[in-house]
Amino acid sequence: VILDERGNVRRVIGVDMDVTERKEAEEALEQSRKAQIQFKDDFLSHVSHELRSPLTAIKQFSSILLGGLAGELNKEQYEYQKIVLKNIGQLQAMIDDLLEVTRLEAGKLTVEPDRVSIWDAVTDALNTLLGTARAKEVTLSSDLPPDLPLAYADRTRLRQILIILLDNAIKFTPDGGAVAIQARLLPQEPSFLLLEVSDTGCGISPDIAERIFERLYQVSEPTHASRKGLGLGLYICKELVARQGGRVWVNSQPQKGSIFSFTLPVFSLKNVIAPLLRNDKWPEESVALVVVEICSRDAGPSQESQEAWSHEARSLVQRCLLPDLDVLLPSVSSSAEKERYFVAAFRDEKAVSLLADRIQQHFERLPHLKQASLTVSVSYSMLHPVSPDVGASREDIVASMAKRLDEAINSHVIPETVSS
Amino acid sequence: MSNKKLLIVEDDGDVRLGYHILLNAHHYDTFFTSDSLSAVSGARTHRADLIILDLGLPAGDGFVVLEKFRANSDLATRRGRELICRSRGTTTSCWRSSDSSSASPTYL
Repeated sequence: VILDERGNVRRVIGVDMDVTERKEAEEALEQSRKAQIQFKDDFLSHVSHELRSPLTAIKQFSSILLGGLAGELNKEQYEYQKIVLKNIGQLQAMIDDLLEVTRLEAGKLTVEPDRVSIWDAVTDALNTLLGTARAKEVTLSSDLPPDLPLAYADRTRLRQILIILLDNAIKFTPDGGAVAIQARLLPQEPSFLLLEVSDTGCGISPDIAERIFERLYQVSEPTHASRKGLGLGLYICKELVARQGGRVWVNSQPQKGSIFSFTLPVFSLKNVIAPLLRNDKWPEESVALVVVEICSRDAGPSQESQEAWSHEARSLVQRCLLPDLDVLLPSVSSSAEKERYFVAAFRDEKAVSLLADRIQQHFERLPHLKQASLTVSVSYSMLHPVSPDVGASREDIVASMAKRLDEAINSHVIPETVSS
Repeated sequence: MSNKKLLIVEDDGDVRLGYHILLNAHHYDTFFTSDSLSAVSGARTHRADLIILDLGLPAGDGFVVLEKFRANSDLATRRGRELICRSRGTTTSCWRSSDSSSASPTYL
């Protein structure tokens, strides 16, 4: 502002800027950035999917040749064909990794936690990699305490994590080395399980160890020149562990081997019901335990058909539930003649009885229920909420509710276990 | 004992031939269809023990077939209802999940 001698405004000099255009440009840029990411995700998903079809055919015909289905191969032809098949396997693994990362980043990867036996998961993963280890004369061993509690994890994802870590360990361990896996409760925090995969491989220097879980990170030292892959495995591993509530890290020294550790929550009913318990509803909130029992009149249904049934029954029960009121509890061991599903329903008695009827009706509508000579009965019991002490924390309430449910479930399960 | 019957829904001719040779060598009877329409009628006719469905059929047809199988219990296979879907890098047993796109994969 420029004033004259009398103090009046003579001139105003200023910069007047219309930022509308800039704001619009920024927004447009953001939009286009989002569109680009979307395009990249769609593109990767599409391309990796399309790559699979021809690869499937190549793998099939390679197997046909190797199996001698198109005539006997001589020794040399057989060896070469095996190399073809091995490389197809590598290509397939890379495409699978690529797809997995696309799904992770697009938020399309689902994790369905249930109670999981670490013993089963580890044994299964070790069996899968037995061949790979044998080819390198790497010893595989496991150390699992017999009283290890169940984990609350997604069985398939846990398998994936174990296979990535064990496969990596074998890959980086010289011929004749050893890879071991052990599990125990996390010392500082016993509500978590700690799993460790150790190897006698080349180890990782500290600066690299920090970056090893990054996407596309690959060790580029000449000693690893034979390494094949996209460098996505550990990134996938980290994401899968995180999505199950755990974390993953590595301890390593060059030339002394590495220990990859990860944690998973221990299974407890508390974890399962906590999301349904809202502070504002307690203590009027009533809880019921709904029990669905499926009995087979046949003496011994084949294991296969029982497995198929139990999956179908679970998903049928699941379809009857309302996600913010009811939760299907992870399976408790079932006998051959009787399969049980437990639902915690945060409803009053009238609503629970409706739910029980609905489940029963859904089962009765299944056309092949009778053919399979199965009977289904649905019952429920109301659990009287324990009035919390004044000042009880939400955690206490959840714990006391979990205890009530656990007692109610046990009263169903234990009498028969004893009598058998 | 008669051979097990497999119905394979797959649009890629080479992959169909590959399945045929490999599965016949393992004493399975194989039947093929290549699109969503014939998949449904094929399931009705053949009453297979197992159906292998390629979810990557053109124009998202794999999911259409899946929905039809689900909605019509008469399309079920002979013994129980077993259906394996080949899709997106994993083999998924689809009866086992309420939502095929999020089904956890079973590695076969």
